[in-house]
Amino acid sequence: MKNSLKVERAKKDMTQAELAKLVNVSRQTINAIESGDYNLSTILALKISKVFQVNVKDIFLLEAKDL
Amino acid sequence: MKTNYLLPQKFKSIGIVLLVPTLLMAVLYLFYDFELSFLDFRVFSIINEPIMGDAEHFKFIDDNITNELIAVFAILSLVFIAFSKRKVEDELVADIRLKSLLGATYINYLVLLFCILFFYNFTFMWVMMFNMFTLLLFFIIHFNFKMIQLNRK
Repeated sequence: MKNSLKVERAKKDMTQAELAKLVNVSRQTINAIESGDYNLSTILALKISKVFQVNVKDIFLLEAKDL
Repeated sequence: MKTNYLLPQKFKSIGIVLLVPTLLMAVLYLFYDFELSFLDFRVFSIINEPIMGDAEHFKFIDDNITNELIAVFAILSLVFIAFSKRKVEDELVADIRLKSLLGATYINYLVLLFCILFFYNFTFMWVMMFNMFTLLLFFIIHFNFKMIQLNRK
């Protein structure tokens, strides 16, 4: 799964720690999601998309290998 | 994310405090046959099968409970350390915890399979005794190693 979390954060000038605090996870979790090391839960994906006020699919995208 | 079945965070400190004297007592008991004389009690046993003689069922027997207390405190302290909440307990930590438990179970039973094939008689009894604690021990090592790796990122 690809994600544009880093881009969305940059648009809002938000650090990993700030986003982590908003969605109630650790900074390391945000870092692991951004680097593709961890596939997050649906709930967390929805929370993150709510923070950025975009659709989940605008941040998280399936790759060919996921299908 | 809500993580269920974990103990409160302070249990980790309690576990560490319990583990230190328990390990000390275990070393003294295993290598020097050290027993605390005031722990001689009449205890209830479901099955008691002495080396010489027949098995007895549902009877009170005289026993020094030093070794029982060491085992109980070792298990309790390891469970407390292994399954207490961390300061930040989110879904990634829960995922690492689950994977570590799986990894520790594989390692534990691979070691046990090796011991079944290559350790015999009295030595295997020692293996079984240590095996009571190794699953928890492997989990604690695996999980904390992964958490240290994560925190470095």
